[in-house]
Amino acid sequence: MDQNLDEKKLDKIKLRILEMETDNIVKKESNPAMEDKIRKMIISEVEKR
Amino acid sequence: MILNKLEMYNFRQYIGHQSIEFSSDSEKNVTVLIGVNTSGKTTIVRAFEWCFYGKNAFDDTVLLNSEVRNNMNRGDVQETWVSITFVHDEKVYTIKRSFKYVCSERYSEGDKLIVNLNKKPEENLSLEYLQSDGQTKTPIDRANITESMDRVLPKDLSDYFFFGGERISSIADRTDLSKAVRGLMRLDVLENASNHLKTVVKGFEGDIDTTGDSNAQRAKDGLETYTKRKAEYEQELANYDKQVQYWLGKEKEYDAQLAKSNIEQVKKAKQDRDRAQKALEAEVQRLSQVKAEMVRAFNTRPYAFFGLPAIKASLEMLEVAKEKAGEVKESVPAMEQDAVDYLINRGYCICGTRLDPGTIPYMKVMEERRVLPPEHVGDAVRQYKDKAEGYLAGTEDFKDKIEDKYKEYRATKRRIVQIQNEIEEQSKFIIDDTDAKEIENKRRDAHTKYIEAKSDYDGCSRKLGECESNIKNCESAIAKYAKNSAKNQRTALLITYSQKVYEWLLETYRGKEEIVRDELQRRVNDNFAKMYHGERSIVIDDKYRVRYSDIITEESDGLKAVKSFAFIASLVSMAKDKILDEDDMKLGQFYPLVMDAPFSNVDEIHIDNICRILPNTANQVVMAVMQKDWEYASVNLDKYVGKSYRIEKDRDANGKEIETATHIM
Repeated sequence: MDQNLDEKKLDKIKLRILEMETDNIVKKESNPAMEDKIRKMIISEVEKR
Repeated sequence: MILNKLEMYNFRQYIGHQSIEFSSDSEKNVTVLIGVNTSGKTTIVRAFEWCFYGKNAFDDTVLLNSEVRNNMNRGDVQETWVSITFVHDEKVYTIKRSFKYVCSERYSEGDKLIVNLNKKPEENLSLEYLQSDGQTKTPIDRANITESMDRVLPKDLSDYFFFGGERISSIADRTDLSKAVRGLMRLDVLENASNHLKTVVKGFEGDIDTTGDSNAQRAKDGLETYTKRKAEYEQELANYDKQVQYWLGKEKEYDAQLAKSNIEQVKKAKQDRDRAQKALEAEVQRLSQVKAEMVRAFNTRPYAFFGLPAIKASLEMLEVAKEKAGEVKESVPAMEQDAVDYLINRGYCICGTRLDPGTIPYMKVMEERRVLPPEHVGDAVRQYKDKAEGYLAGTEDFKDKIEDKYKEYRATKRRIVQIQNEIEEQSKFIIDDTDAKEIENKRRDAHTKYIEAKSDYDGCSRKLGECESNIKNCESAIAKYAKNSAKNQRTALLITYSQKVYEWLLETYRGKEEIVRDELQRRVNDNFAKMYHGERSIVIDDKYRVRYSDIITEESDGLKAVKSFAFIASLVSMAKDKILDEDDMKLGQFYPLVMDAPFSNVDEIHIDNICRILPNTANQVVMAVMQKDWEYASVNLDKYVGKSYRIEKDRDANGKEIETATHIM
């Protein structure tokens, strides 16, 4: 399975999470809200063509 | 953040419009405000807290200047405000907070004048920044100002940058500094990300449809059970940790009391016991090290431990059999009787020679057939011998190595018991003295409770470890199932991506946390050694608390302050040096240090030492000091001072100071 991973997508997800969490240091959204956002972001990045 | 200017208008004792410009010169980064007691030094720090975060720490919460207030008549409106200009990320910002007070009543009670103001003054807050043209000002929406300020300098961490002399002593003694350290170093970003992602991975795992596969379903149920259990163990572990810390603290407290005893016998016994205690700690550490070495030695060839006696015995048996039956005739390797039968049946050999019964070629081939498997085991025996001898090669010293380690383990255990007895003996000398006896009994009680709590903690920690390993097993079983099931392939892909990112986050966080811990310990020790005249070394524990590595004696407020200064200076300098930054990860920050009477608990030698360090650690230092402290501080600090002010109370016609009117000169 691992060899099917797209390194670019992986890097994009990493970067997006760091951006979202840096933003949330001040926005202070709840844990469930952040988890939902991250989940949606991962689905969207993984399924992006 | 670099501070440019502070302006106040009728704020507390600062009457009218007052302004302070801060030095931002990198060579002369200190701004000093010198004033006598009650002149308004603390108000400066509080002006920052109020303007930035709306924090009002005054006992009398009215911020309007008293003189202005006393001149108000019913219905009059007066305003007080504080404005701060600062630079952040190369942009110049101005934040201004104001309170508008309305006089609700004014009357006299005897000689006393009473002026009451509306309870909730109207508050205004604005934050704007200058565009790169240096002219255009862009206001930030009121609803976003708190968030924006938190982005520049988080409110939760403001205690570490705006503080008074009384507060500084307690900083390094706080029960848990992890949050502050992670926040200042921006490790909280990585920590929060990994916590959130962990839940996201679990969510994806929960999406896997396991219907129709009993093993996968069992793993899914198990995962749920173990995850719940893990949370319970974590909670339990935190409680045990609190107990461990509490009783350890108590033991050290009684130890410190015993250290103060004037009786020579108690003093000496206490010193001897401290020495023995240190030796005990070293031996306990050695014990766990030897145990680990023993396990490592065992793990190099674990099969040898179980199989070696059997292999040796079987080889000996074969040797005996060989002596009795003679040498086993050599046979064609990897050939069985079936192959010869095939050749006989077809009537000719692979070389083309006919194999008719009774001929010489036939007899030769049949002779070979007799030593071939399965009827004859000679070849199998030879193969076994080859393999067995291969296993034995290199295991000659295996047993000796484990035996040596085990002997060392036993010897260390014996030494531990000896030292424990020695400590017990020293305790008897201590309890000969009546006063010390009571303290010693309490200390022993605390020590027993500490040992009990530690044992509970270790037990719980083991259970937690088992639980984590069960969770891992369940997760890998589910993942394996998902990868092989067509209906779950989408979810399996999402799990793989999120799991990969989660692992990367954990690894990055752990790596950076280790850098922070090591670097903090190094810098705190370095700074402390430069600030403190005695010899002491400092360790940073798992919660980033600052501890002395030697035996604790009672600490003066001055020593606590020096310790806190060393801690803050190190932390700020690490953020300033951006020690964690990478290409895509910018975690370093600039922080100013704003201090009110920072040296109030510190003696002159320490003032001298602290002043050598501070200007080099922070990007900007603002301090309000008393004249007498400045006399010591200026010796080292003067060359770093870019701006200097005096805080002076106004005087009446008779030259007497007016408490309600202060000016900055």
